[in-house]
Amino acid sequence: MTGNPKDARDALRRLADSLAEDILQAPDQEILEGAKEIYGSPDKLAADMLKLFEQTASEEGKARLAAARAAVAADRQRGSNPVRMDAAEARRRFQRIIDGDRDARRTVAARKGEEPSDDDVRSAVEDFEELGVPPTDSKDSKK
Amino acid sequence: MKAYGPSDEALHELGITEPQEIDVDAIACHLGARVKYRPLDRCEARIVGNGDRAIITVNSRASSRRRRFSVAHELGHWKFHRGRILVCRSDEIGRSGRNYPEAERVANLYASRLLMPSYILEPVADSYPKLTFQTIGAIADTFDTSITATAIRLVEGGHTPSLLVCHGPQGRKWFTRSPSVPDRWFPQDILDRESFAFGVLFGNEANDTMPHKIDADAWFDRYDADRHEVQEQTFRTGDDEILTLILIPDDEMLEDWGSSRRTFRRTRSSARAAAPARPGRRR
Repeated sequence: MTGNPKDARDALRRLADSLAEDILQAPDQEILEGAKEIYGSPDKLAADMLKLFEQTASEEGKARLAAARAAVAADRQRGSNPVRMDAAEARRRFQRIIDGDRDARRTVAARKGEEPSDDDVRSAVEDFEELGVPPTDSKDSKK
Repeated sequence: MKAYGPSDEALHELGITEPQEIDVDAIACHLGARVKYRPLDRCEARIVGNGDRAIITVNSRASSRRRRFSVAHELGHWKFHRGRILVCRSDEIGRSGRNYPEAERVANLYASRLLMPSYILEPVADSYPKLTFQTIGAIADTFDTSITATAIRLVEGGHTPSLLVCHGPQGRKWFTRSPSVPDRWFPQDILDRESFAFGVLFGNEANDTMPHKIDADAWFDRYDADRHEVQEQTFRTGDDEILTLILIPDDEMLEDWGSSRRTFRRTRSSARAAAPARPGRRR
């Protein structure tokens, strides 16, 4: 040992690898007997370990859930940038966006959708602009 | 480890183990979609996406549970139809027939599984031995879902051998059935006057408080239907719409005639509990 924390971590990693290697190379029967001797029942040990894995995964997940909730709360404070344009222009822009580059991986779906109102089209264009889809210029409109 | 479906992936990644943790806005955020609530005139909800980022806009005038389902529905499109331009028409919602767009069906299924995932729903549902609208209402409250969505999920999930039929004044709108109910039990288009449902839809009778026994030929136009009994319970979901739960307690009705080697599917006995009788074809 050198006192260097990195060396210490490497040593521990080598020890863990060596122990894991021993376990992987041991016959199944030996593992089962060892588990029985230490824990009483291999099945109970397996169930408890599985529970521990799931609990650990769940705790990490719940931390992600808390972070997502915090992000949503922060997002609620954000204002929107209403698109100011007349209805005809909004419809032209929207049509250009969905008829545009086929490789652009744009997604549009509407639930229980009918022919959208002018306001619905304006807000859709606003959403696209927020996602970085720029207003199409006149050159594109000639396509 | 349990097997997880497409909608379970996100729930698992977020460590969701309780119904109260199914926060659709947070799930959307985790999946790269921002949710906005604002008035929409001609649709319930919409998703627009560019690459791997999306904005889901939900009609703020809709009820809370409908808004939740709409977010989950749009996440279904996000999962399965990213990079596609789709439009779902209002007259296609809720239908399972040949003309029903596959994309809409997939998004609805995803939404249903996201809001009521099997690994959370099943232990809750199993604590209710009998499927009734009281059970459905209690589970809907637990999961913050609509009566209709919850009823579909429980019937299709096979809680009890049953059918769920939706009627309006013009006839049957749609229906679904449990996996254990053979295809030959196909509900009639028009409500039978003897059915309790008829009285609720056209006679302004109150919702049934519990399932009632009735001859199966009130619901099924088959030569052998009069040999069997079913139980029905009706719940009004709108001014011109009712949902009817048809429970099949008769194991003979569940025999599978589809294969040359006749199989017999045993069923839960929970639907066998005695139901109150009424005169005539109504038992």
